[in-house]
Amino acid sequence: MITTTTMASATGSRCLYRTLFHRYGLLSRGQVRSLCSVPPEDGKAPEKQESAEAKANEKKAAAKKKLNDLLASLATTDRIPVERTNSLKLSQPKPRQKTKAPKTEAEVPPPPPEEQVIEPELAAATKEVAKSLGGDVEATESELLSTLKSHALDTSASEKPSANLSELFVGLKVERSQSKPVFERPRRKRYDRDDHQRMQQGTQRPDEYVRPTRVTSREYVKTDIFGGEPLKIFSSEESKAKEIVESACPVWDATHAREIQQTVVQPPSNAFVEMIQWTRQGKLWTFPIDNEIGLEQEKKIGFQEHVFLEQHLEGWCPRRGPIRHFMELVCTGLSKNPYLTVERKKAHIMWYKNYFEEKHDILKEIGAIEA
Amino acid sequence: MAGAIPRCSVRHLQRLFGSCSISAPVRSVRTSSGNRAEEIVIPNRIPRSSTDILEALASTVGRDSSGPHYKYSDDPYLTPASNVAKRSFSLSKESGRKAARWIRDKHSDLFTHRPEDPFIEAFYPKISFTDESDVSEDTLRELMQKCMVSDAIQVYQICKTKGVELSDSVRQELLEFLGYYNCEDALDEDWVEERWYRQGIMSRDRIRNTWKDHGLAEELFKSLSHQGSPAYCALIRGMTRYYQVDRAWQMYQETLEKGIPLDTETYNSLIRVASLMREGSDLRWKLVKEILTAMSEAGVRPNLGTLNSTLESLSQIASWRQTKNLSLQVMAEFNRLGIQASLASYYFLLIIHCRERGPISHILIDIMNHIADKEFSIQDPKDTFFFVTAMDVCRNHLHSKELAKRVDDLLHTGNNYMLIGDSYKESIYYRHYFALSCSTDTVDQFMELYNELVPHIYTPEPGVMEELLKALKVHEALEYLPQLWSDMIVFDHTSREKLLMSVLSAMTCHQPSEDNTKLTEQLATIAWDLWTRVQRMEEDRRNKITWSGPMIGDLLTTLVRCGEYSKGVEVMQKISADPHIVLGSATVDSLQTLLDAAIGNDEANTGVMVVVYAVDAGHQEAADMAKKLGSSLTLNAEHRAKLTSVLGIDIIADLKEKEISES
Repeated sequence: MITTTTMASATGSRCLYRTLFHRYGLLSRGQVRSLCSVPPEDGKAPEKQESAEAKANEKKAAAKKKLNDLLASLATTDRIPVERTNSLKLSQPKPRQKTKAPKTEAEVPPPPPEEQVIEPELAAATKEVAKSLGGDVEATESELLSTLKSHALDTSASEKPSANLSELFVGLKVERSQSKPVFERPRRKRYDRDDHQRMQQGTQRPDEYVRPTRVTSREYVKTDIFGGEPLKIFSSEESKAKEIVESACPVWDATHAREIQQTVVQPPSNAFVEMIQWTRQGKLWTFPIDNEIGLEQEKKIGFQEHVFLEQHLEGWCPRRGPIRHFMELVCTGLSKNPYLTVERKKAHIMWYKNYFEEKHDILKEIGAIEA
Repeated sequence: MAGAIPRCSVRHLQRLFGSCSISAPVRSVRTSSGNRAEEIVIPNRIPRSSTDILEALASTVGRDSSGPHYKYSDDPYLTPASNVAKRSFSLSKESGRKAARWIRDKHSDLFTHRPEDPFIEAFYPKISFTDESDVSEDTLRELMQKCMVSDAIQVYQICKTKGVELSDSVRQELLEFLGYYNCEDALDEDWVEERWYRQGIMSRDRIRNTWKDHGLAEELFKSLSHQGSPAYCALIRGMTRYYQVDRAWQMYQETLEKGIPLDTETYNSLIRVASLMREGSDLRWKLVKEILTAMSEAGVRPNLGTLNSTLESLSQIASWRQTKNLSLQVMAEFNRLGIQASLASYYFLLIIHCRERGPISHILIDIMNHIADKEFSIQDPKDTFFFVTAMDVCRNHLHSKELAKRVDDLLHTGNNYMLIGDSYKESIYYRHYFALSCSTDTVDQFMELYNELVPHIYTPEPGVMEELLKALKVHEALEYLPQLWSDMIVFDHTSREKLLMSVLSAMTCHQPSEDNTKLTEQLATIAWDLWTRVQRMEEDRRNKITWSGPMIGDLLTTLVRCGEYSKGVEVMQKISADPHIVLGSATVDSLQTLLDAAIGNDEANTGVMVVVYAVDAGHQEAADMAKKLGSSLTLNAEHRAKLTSVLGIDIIADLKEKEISES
């Protein structure tokens, strides 16, 4: 317990001082709202002010929350006297703003002029807040400013570095309600794991949580998507004049193109689409139907080489007689055969040639060839 | 659907028939019969690719929302309806193919019969390589062509051990190839279903350095005799693709020092990861601008990828105040350069402008004005994110059904539907569309959409179903409840407590009258079906439904109201016999309804049971109920004894005394 307390105070001290002395932080968002005449829409703060204030407010809220958390954690462990922390050598923070020389409380100065207490940016910001809140702008602004002023006085009074943490806590209201679970929708990207998990579990948070309430109107505001001021990094003339530069990595580009194409492939939605897929994979005859598809070798060979085979008889076959007769029949048969390549046909004829040469003696004997 | 040929198919057919328009022959006949002879122009032959005819035919077939998807078996019994069933049916089918292929590759020696000519490679086992295989540069190139990463790596190793000389050009190609895939096998292009179901999971949590440091790609890079621009480009692209950002940046600095020029894609890849290299929005943007300027100075021509990478970087600092303005500036800049934005660009614009907690932006309307009726093809991997995000914006940001309709129309223009991405995105898209319609349309309009899309195109998730049931309750459109209940049974939603609760509470709104006797009967059947389903669940079921007080109360009320008094009594008997099956106890209202019915039916037994239950449950109203029972029915001694024992006093006697004193 002790260690946690001291640790919390040691690590948190810097942050605590910073937030305490951050004079904006003392003006909570709730206070702003209570000042203005517009009733709050709901439990949520008006977040949509489209200006620096939104961000400043967020920061304020974050700072305030941090502070509250820290104070709450200190407060819950306050069985240990806070004075304990005295023994620790806490680093003394530097005052955040350039301050006037620290004044003792006995000689409280007359309220300095507005500009001195409240920086011009802050004043300007206040004006904008007042405007964005609507209602009686001037009244709101002056109310805000007066509150700021009073806080500014408070802070400048307490800006003298305090040695004692417990002194700081006096008069500070710590919001203990922080211990209640805060239903805050976790920030998520538009399309993320959350979604997926929710889908898997089949549950979804009820819409009350999903829809953050928006304050701005739903009026259509036109955005010209090409109407911005160009960056003027590239000059258009130059790029038009230049030829498209060849990519340095053709294989990469081809692979990428293929992968991209695959990301949009869906399971075939009808038989035709499936046939397209099969055609691309080379499993189907391609349209329009062509009997010679895939016969790449044959394309180089003319039909005459298939049909006129007698030329291959020249030189070895007798000019007439039964062998000539037989070989002519062979040639006719081969010329009508669509299933054999020219090479095979030639090989057939050559086989007969060899055969007859082997049997040359017998053939001569029976007079099938002339001597 | 079948009646009218979609517009796109007419265009397809026209392309197919070229200038020879369909009405031409008629006109020529007419003119030839006339006096003036007109010259007949025979159009030139238009070369067609092998799939043109099929594409034209396919475009005449629209999606039939009343039938199951083509991939499922054409048998009503086997048509899946729930999301789980759809998924497992499609994946099982593919799994069968996978198993077959595995057998084929494992026992490649058995598949040697090759009767066909020409040879169909897709039907034969893939070639496996061993240390003795005869390999060459061509083998490597072929493998890269076929996208076989591990085989390519193996062949490269074989080449190295066997001392086969590889030229620099093939090394460079291999470097690009391995850099792209990070030396890991890619999903085979045949596994369409797996990709369809997996992509949603894959595209997330990838921002993580997965680059294989000092892997084969880097070895190849070093082995090149001259490390020129292509080598650096390939390596930088690979590193940025797998988020090895620091070393990619180092390499980039090296190229700057050595004066090596880079190409557009490489610059794009650097821009894409620029936001990972710096902290702080302004520094990130500064870096992006730096790279863009470097491109411009190097005279490198930007392209669509540059636009999308720049916007992607901006989308990562979308919370920055200037980002919105900058994104428009970027769009203007590239528009000036004549670069057409793709869907991915609009997707990034949506992310940048429509922040969850930011002010409302109507940029989607402007985008839709710009791209309505256009047809898109995939140009950027992120193109597929547009539709789902646009629908999300319609639902959660703008709450505009009208806009959602426009987005949906765009999705169904031409071939745009393929840009829906994958099953995950598709179902989120429809979930948003549904929920939006549910919250903005009337029930009848909504049910029209429901009937069109469910169950073949989209199966509502339980969350959507719950909203639907709530909407039915609010609009008191209980006539749709029987339909929804039967769908819920088919979608396997009946084991979800929340849904059952919604069904029960919706049914209590029913007011039986003469006009709706059929509905009354149906609701009674639903209530009884629900009860028996829950009772039938096995005790050890993982998420067994426990009856809660309100649920059992709604059930009793519905049963009694819808004229199934005896079934109500049965339920009552069950819960008074084992009170532990109900968490809490039945509501007072329901008990009173049942008591009234018991009185109406003159059943003292049931009445006493109800009162005893009410006392056990600790309802304050138990005494009043007992009085009511006592005053309306004559109770026998046993009943009176029971009541007396639980209530502690003899109410009936009290009543009688009171009556006597009053009279």
